[in-house]
Amino acid sequence: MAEATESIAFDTAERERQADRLGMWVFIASEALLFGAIILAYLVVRAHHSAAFAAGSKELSFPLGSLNTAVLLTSSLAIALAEIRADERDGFVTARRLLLGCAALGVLFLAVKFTEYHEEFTRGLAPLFGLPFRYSGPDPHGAALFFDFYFAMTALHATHMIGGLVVIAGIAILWPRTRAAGRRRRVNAIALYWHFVDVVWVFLYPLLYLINR
Amino acid sequence: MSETRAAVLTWFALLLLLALTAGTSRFDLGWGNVTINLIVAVAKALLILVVFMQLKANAIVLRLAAAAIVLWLGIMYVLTFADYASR
Repeated sequence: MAEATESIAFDTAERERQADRLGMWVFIASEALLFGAIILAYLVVRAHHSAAFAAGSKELSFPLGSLNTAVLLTSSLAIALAEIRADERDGFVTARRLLLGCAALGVLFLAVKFTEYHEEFTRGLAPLFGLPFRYSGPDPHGAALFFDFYFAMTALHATHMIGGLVVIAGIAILWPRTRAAGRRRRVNAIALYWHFVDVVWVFLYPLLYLINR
Repeated sequence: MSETRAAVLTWFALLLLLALTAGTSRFDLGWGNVTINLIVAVAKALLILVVFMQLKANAIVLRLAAAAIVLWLGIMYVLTFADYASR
């Protein structure tokens, strides 16, 4: 593999890529602690208000939440395939299309998410910005806490998706001016990030949408 | 092409797991729901980590970085729950 490196600090392209990956993993570790902490807080509060959390969860849209999970898993497949194609000799055109396909699925996810937000706001289920919280079930205080967590966790996740989409757009725009090694490095880095955001959703989905108890 | 095959099969397995967790959540299985949801979430996360994030194919230093996340989160979770469980 006599592929050129981008930086003179590395002997081989493979070594350069391993260094990139380690950098991304350190970043992902810090992100995992951020999401891990908010999920921990959620679990502690849920243990104190389990009935209210179950009742609150039933107010969320199960079909839209499940659809969004499938959309996000598919976007991960698209960016994984983009990585594979980018490694092939003539794969750059397909890789860029797959990258944009992943971004389109990400936009779809956000569109569905904001549709859900809109519905919850109009039904008075958003105890945010001093809005009235119109909830008729038992333990409205506990339910308000559930919706606080729901909005905080999904909004933090959505913010990460928007960040990922901005980076994908940047990579796609700069694509024609980027050399082969640079394209591969960028696709590798954003793919790791995107998969991580997917893993976060894999945990948020059952925690928020699938409480049966 | 075998990499492509692995990625597509992983995606298929992820969707099957999603169908399992979503389907069983429609029935009241008591603690069974929580158990299934947790096992499915961990299985999905492992599939994404090992195949999509290529932990299997890469150097041991990356697996150590991933293991470090589990270690630090584990300390935070165990200490917190030990506190709440022993009050």
